[in-house]
Parts: sequence; structure tokens; C-alpha cells
Amino acid sequence: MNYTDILSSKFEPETTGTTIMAVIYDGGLIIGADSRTSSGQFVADRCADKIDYIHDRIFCLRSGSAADTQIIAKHVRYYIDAHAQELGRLPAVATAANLFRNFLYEYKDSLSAAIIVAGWDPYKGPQIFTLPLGGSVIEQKWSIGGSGSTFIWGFCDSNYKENMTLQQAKAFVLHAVAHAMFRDGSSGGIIRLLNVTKDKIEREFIDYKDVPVK
Amino acid sequence: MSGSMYDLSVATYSQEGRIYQVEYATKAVENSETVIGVKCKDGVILAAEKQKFSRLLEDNTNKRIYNIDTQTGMALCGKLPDGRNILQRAKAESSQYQDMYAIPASANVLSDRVAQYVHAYTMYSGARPFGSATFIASYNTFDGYELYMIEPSGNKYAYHACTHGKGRAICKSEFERRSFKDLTCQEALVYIAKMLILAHEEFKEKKYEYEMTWITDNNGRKHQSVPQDLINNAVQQAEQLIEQDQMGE
Repeated sequence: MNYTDILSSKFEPETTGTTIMAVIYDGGLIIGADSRTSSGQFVADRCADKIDYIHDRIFCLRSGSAADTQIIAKHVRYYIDAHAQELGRLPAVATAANLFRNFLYEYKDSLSAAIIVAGWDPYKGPQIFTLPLGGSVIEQKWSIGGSGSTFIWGFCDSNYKENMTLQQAKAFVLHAVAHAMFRDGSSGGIIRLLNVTKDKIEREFIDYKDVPVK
Repeated sequence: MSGSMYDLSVATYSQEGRIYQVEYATKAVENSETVIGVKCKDGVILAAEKQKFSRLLEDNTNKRIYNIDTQTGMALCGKLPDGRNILQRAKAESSQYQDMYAIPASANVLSDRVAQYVHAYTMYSGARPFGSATFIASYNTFDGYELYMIEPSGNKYAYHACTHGKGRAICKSEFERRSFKDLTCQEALVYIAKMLILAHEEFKEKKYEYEMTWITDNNGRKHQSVPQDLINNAVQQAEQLIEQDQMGE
């Protein structure tokens, strides 16, 4: 599984620029993210993977300080792993969200981290939890985050529909992230999509030439 | 069963590989009032007999079966103060688990934590093992109804029917004879009352109270006391059944 770690070749420096998104559709959820990691005006990684693995059907999207969010995701990954082993079955998405929340709330004065936890579990199906800066938890049907998200609130509010099909949801996420990348200097590169369902995880890579808005 | 020099400390094995102090703790449970746990067709029941050893005692107090959370209950058998310590630990574990993982602790996890706690007291010479066996009954949507018993040794097993205390032999043979899996909880109450009454055959003249709780499809799958009138009816019917059996002999 791909996850960013100091030992991996995709080690990310400090960054706050990003566009991340998750949307529930009829049968699962779509996660989307851009791929730009910037250090000031320098693009440190133009093909980053911001979709972090937490468990087989649970992922997190990180925004804010890369250092803060990486270390928290690492701890949560460990706790969820131990928990799932004891439980003997897939963990609840709400469990992962709670573990993240405990960190973000306890250390709110020292951290700069906002996280979207998205996944599927056999108890409540696909779920998205938004965890903003202060350490609160909001369950939502769709969520956007990162600096690029500010440019697409209007687009998302008018284009989101409940119970979309897989194709509709993918198109929605693709266009929304593309619009954000178009206007936000700190977001760009390629678009990564992840389809999470009961049966499988499907990763998709939208190359620069196929990004719909540019 | 004399342990000679090998029973002075729980931190000492005997030559045959036994730990006598743990066995003595189990003896304390075996000589105490009977407790039963049984899974029926539509739920799980915990039941305990309570001898009213003094007329000064208030009725229907001095509980032995407690809630750990809305859908989990624990019954204590053996030395009650020891049992209450285990109960406190179980409550703390359950509440902390829920705090951390945002889901209630399932019975297998909770009983595992309790078993580890009880077992810890069998390892060090500075403290004695608990003289109490505890029963955990629970429901959750994924695992359904579950029943566990944890003994003073730290052994824990999942059961569809279990019992400890003075009347355990009588109860075990009743479990073999009757298939509780085919009875609803309501139907099973009579037979449970019967087991508890038979369990103290020799002490018939003493006064007894019966404490019963259940988690069933019919009570919202919550761990609650069986209504007192149902218990009283079950006890009455059980006494009649016993009379009939004896007359038949």
C-alpha cells in the first residue's frame, strides 16, 4: 500500500497547498486529490500521493502541515491495525475518525492539521468524516479540503446530487478538483482518484493531458 | 487435597504442575451461591440465587448482576467484594474502549480484558487471586448474543450455557437434558428457576431470592432485569414442577 513515510522515496516536505475531496455515491465513495507538493513557490513533488492508507477500506486525506498530518496518520494506522486484529473484522470508519479526533483535539494548540477520513465499513456502508482544525468531527455526504477547496465551494454546492452513480460521482470529483487546480497556485499536477466499495479499491490516475480544466 | 509446602504462595507450582492457590480460589467460588448463564432461542439470561441470611435484609437489593453498558451485563459468583472489583475493572475497560474506538466493546474483547486482569492476580505472590467467577452476557449487531464465563484462574470460554457455585452439578445436568436453544427466554424462565431451587435442596428451609436479568429480542436487546412478576411466576411454576417430579417418584 502506498503511504508517505520518511523512509519512502516520496517523502514530503512542509506544505499547505492542496485540493482534496471525497464524495459518497450510490454503492461506495470516490476520493480525489491533486498531486502538487510545494515548498513556497518551488514544486517539490509534482506527482505526490495524498491519499493515505489507514486500513483496507479506510483512507485519509491530509491538509495543513505535512509533518503534523503524517505523524498523526502513522499513529492512527498503528492503532487501527491493532484494534482490527483484536476485533477480528473490519474496523468502523467512525473508529478511525475518533482516533484522529483524539489527537487533533488534545494537541490543538500545537498542531496545524485538517483531515478528511473516508471509507467503507460493513456496519454503516460508505462514510465521510471531516475533521477541521479544532478537533471537531462532522459526518458528511461530501467534503472538500485544502487551499484549493476555497475556489470550488460554489461549483460543488450546485453540482452535488444525492445517490449519484459511479460515473456521475467520478465526473463530479474530477471536474471539481480540476477547477480548483486551475485557480489555486498551490494545487496542480495530476489528479488521483480512488473508488472505495464493499468489494474493492480502485485507483485511477488522470494524467495532465486528461485533466478536464486547464 | 493437601498442598503441603506448595500451596503457600500463588507464585509456586506444585510438583505436578498445579497452582494450589488458584485451585483454592476456585473452591471459594464452588462453595458459594449458584449463578447461571444461558443462551436461548431469542436471547441470553443471567440468573443468581441469593440466600436471605438475615431477616433484617432489605428485599430485592444487594444485587449480584450489574450493567456494564446498555447491552452488556455481568453476574458475580463467589466472593462478592472480589467480584465487584472485577466489575469495576470491566466497567472501566468498557467505557475507555468506547471512548477510544467509538464503538461498544464486544463481549469477546471485554471478556478478554477481564480475563487478563483476573489472570494477573495469579502471577504475583504479593496479592491473592480473586475468589470470584464472573459471567458476561452481551448483544451486538455483528456477533449476536454472547455469553462468557471467567474463572479465578483467568480462563475464559464462550458458552451457550454455564454455571458455577454450589448447585453447578445439578444445573449442568439440567443443561444436558434440556435444549435451551429451542426455548424462548420467556419459556426458559421456569426451568432456570427450577434449577436454582433444586440447587439448594439441602437448605430448603432458608429463604431465597432470585435475581434474573436478560437481553432478548423482545426487550429491545438491552440488558435489563426480568420483571419481578415474571420471576415470581416462574418460581411458583418451578416449585409446582418440582413437587410433581417428586410425586412421580
